[in-house]
Amino acid sequence: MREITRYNYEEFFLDYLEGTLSSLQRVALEDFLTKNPDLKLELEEMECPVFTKDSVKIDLKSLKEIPFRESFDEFCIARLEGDLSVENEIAFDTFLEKNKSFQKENQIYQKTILHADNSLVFVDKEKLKRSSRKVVYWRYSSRVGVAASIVLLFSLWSILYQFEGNQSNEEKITAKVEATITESKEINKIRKAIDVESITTPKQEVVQPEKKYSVEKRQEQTADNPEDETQVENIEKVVQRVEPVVLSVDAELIALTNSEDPTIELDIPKEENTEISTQNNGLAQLGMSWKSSVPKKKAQNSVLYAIAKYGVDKLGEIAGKNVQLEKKYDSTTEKTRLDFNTAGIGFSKTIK
Amino acid sequence: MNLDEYNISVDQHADGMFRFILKSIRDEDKARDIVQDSFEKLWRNVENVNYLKVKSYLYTTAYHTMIDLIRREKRKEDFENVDVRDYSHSEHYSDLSEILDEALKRLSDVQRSVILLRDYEGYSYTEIAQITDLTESQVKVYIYRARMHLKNYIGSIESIV
Repeated sequence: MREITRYNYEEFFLDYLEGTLSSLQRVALEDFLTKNPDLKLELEEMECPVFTKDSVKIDLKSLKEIPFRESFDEFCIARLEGDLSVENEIAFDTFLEKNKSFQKENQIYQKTILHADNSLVFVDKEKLKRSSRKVVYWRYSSRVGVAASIVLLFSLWSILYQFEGNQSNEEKITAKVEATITESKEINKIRKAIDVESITTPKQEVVQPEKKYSVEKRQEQTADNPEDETQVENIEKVVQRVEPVVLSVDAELIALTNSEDPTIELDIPKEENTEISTQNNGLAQLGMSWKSSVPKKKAQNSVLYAIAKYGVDKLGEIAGKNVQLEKKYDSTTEKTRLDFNTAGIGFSKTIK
Repeated sequence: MNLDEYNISVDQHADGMFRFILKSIRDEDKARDIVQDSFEKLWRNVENVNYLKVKSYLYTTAYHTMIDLIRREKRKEDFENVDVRDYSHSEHYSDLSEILDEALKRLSDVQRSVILLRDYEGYSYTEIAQITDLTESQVKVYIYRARMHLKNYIGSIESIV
């Protein structure tokens, strides 16, 4: 048996408290405590209360209880939705039976189940149904419609380029007018303007009042001079020789001026003058100019769009389906887009 | 899916879809338009849609068309912003269905849609999630919240009556 010393006494103390010391060891421990009374207090402090089975009573039911009270709403909904396990469902139903105060709440939850009103029906079901013949027709017509639309768009596109190519018409006008005006070159002293309203075709719409320069007005200015009268007659001759049909192409206003006498100014606003001269150098050299009231590109676009939309709409009618060509302005991107849509195909192009 | 199956689908689902959309947006003409649009889209894709999944396809199409419409018209009304005390000023109700109808109006769009799909069509959380592009957990949460709101509304009305 080992001897108990101040260096190993804790070991013996614990065994003593556990009751595992032999009788000889216990005698030896008591002898040790007599010789070391200061350690006796330490042993007393180490003594712990020992619980017996009878001293503690555990409520096993409370440990098994599900927190129905704390989470009652969730359990009600889970029961309603069928989210509870079978055991929990039984436990919840039992809980409700025992706690009448919770039953009313649960009954209100039961009422939240929605029931469809079967009297509400879709009356036009027959219109939704299809027949096989229509399937073939629709597929055929839609494909034809799409193909025709694409062909039409390409055609219109090529027309657009043709329009651009026709700008040479202006040069033809210049040439014709130049040939005619050369005969009246003798009237170089006074600048003349000719009102072209009378030589434009009915197709032309608006000529703004400030752009009109009448021969009569000029006649008044030159009434004192007999030479001027002959000059005016020459101008009228020129007007008659100019072919109205040729001049009417894309032009709303033609002003003939004497380029050799730049000191006399027309009543044309300065900014417009500048624009005209930069737009058409050939006419400006001749002393002539023209200007459309609608910007050229815008006019072409709007005409092209109108033709294209009409064509596409008609194709849609023929196909019996919704084929659309729309120009839309998107305020968020501040851009205008051209949308082409039909069944199965559609494309969009930002045009401005 | 063939032609016959398509026409059967019309018979089987047009009414249910119409009720679902009508209860959601409360506009008969628009509900009818949405149903028509949905079947039009189905017809265009008739060859690519599996007949067994046609119901889900139709409801998904109709639901998204409806949500787009609601967003356009900015008719969104959030139930959370409604004060329960407002219920006391509601009109008189003759039966539970009217009370529920009124309560349904006060749900948010998503809550209303998921609970209608759940109760009218008996869809599972998974199926509703597929239709509405939500997760199953989100669907469950929306349904639980909707039930709680409906219960509170019914409870408040009953207590007044």
